[in-house]
Amino acid sequence: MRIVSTALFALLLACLIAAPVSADRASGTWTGSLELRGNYYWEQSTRVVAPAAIVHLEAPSGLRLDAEYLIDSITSASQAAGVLEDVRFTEVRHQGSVGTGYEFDLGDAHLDVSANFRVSREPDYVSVGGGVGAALILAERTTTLRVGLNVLHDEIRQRFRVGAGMRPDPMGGAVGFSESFNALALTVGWEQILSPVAYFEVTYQYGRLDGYLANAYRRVVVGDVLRPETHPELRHRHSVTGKLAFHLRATHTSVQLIYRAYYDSWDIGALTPEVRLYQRLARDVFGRLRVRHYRQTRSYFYDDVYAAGTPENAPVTADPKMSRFHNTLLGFQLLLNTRFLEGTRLDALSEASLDLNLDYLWNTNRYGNGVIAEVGLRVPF
Amino acid sequence: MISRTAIVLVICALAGCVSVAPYEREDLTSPGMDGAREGREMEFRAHVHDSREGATGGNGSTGGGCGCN
Repeated sequence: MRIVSTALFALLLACLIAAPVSADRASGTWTGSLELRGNYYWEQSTRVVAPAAIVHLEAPSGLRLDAEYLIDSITSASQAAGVLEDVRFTEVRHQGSVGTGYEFDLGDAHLDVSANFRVSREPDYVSVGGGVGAALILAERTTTLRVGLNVLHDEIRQRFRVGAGMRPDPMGGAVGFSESFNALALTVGWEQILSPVAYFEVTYQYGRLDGYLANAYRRVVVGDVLRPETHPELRHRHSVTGKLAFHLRATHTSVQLIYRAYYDSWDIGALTPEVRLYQRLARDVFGRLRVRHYRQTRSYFYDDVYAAGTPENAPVTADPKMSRFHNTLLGFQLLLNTRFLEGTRLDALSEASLDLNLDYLWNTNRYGNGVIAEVGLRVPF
Repeated sequence: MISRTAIVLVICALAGCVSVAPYEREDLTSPGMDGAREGREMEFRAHVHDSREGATGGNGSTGGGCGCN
């Protein structure tokens, strides 16, 4: 895993060094965009504030470069910490990612290749990952076939009052705690333009997770004692997603119908239908209504009550998302293109777009209902 | 199962016959049809779903000791 990460990083570094050379050679200009996003999530026991900045650059040679920095501040009550840490705490995660891509002209077809690398760090967790992707674009860009491979390595360090990387020992004192897991995701997809106003996409993804897959803080009541949560250390995931999009010229309306089916080796199955309705409200103002319904079965080791005789090595969980539940999301978006700033002192922003989003989530498990709010500003240059 | 297979075959057949010239694609770039436009925006939604649903994520997008795997 470390070799793969190092190779990806080296590839990105090479692209970053090569990019200015290409730009000079073409004597052209760079284009790109700056995007600022503010994200907020609220539910009964958790608040998340996550601002992000994203820069996209395109060299005259066609080389694409992306960089993103995100801060994720999570304030949570005792939901995850259990009885051992029944206090409200705030944890900050920093995430940085870079990516690059280039499209090769093959005559009748095009081949787009891309790579990305990401590091996420917080006091008790480090995640390093990356991926490569390729898209074969055929028939005058009417058909696109995609394949992608992503890998990651996560290190988990538990932080209790007894110190970082330590876990309280039921017999007294503290014991060390350090776990990790590796993941791999393989994606294949097909995008097809059906007409001047319609297209569809189909994507299959296989995921393999191997290692520590439980929550280091969560405890499970087994009989009348508390046990650390333990999950199986291997998980195979399969999902298929289909999307059909079409545009109605007469009313300036677009519709996206999305359906996702999922199954994994923990016996969790889920179906997620989603409808997105887009409506032009004025020349540069668009509205979006989004309805998403998610329904899943429970994992084979989830139980509301674990009997006292549950074997020591049997997986036990207190994770609400291992249970059978469903949720429904209703969301609204207002998208504003700022063309009205043309010719004013803010002319530089006249090609920008601003999006305002508000979602409400009805959830039937212990997490309860939630609100997602998001605002984004994208400025091309 | 047979009907699903038939649908897939019909879509494949239709796709093979379609030729949409670049100048005919104006509507495909409208905000409601351009899926790439929403990519960054949807990342945070995915982040929320990763940490609250058992059947999403799993590729480390969430991070944090929240058992999002």
